[in-house]
Amino acid sequence: MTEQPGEARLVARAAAGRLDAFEELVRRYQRPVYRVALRMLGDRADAEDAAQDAFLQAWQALPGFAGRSRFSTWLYRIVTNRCRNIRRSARRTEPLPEGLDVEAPASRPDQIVEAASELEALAEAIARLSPEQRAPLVLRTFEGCSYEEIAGVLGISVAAVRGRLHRARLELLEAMRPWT
Amino acid sequence: MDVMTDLHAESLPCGADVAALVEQVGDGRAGERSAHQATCPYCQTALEELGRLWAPVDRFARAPVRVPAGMAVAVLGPVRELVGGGGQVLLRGGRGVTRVSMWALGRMAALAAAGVPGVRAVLGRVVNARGEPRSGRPPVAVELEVVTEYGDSAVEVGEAVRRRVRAELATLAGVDAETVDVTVEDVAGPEWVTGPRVPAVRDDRGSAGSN
Repeated sequence: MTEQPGEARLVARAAAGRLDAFEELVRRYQRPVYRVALRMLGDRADAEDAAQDAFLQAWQALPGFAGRSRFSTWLYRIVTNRCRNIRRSARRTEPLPEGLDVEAPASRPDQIVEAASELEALAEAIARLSPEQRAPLVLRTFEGCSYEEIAGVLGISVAAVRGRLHRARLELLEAMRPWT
Repeated sequence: MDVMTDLHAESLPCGADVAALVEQVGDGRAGERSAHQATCPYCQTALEELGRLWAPVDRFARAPVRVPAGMAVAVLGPVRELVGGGGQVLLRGGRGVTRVSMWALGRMAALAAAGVPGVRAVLGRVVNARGEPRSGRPPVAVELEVVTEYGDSAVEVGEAVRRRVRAELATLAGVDAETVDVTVEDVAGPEWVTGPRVPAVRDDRGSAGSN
């Protein structure tokens, strides 16, 4: 997430208890926060809960936000922590997690089915990753965060981010082997 | 197609570090080949294979995510409860009443102001106006903070915002915006970016020699 001009002012106002400023922050950041939760948890209802909890927690913690990190980094930290702690719902029943049905690069029915199964296998592989590996993968691959930003979000070194990302990527590459 | 590259090996026969190649592909830099990679068959095979295996991940990453409708409302509900109040205005109809929350009015005012040329960003809140209603409609007071574009007159933009917000609140919510206070908080120069950047994963499939 890029910092926009005026954002520091918005954050300061929200920290001072101005709800209209916080509303604007929610509108700006609901998409990335929900997306991280969705890719971390793999389930829409769980992701919605986590995103809502994260914003509520952000509102309560904002007065203590010192602005030492970027607001987006701080928000990513809250939502990834929420995802680690949230009670996973009982086995999900949705046939396809969100996003799997949208971009089928093929047109023939059998190709579409194959592309969907491929992405389903991928989603399962992501779900099988440990939370320690999944968080850096989601932040890097789905959010486009830099290694330094991820280190800031997770409170670990850049070297540790590299190591976890590498292991996560190996898992996914292995999972994609049967599909090539 | 079989994948020949041993993902778990330390290095390729040419000495190239496998982990570095995985990172190169995962970071979307498969197409940015070093001088060695430009001529090394081991590296080229490995990069192509890794690129093929990784392609579905990039496709998945680019798939748009729909934010559930009403997410902001669901988020803000509990927060508003924590803050308390806000209040409502009451509009009497033929049978029953319509209540509009101050938050909704504030949002209407902000969106109305955002539609005025020269206004780049708005924060708005609405409070009950003191004093007697003069128009028969519930009186409210509007406070707006706006960011204007450099080159536009703050006075004219302020007037235009006032006119439009008064008219919109009358039409949309049946309230009388007795006062509309506008504060020009900031001025947007050419560096102003609108909307958060959508993180994009670079697509290098075209340049990675996959054709």
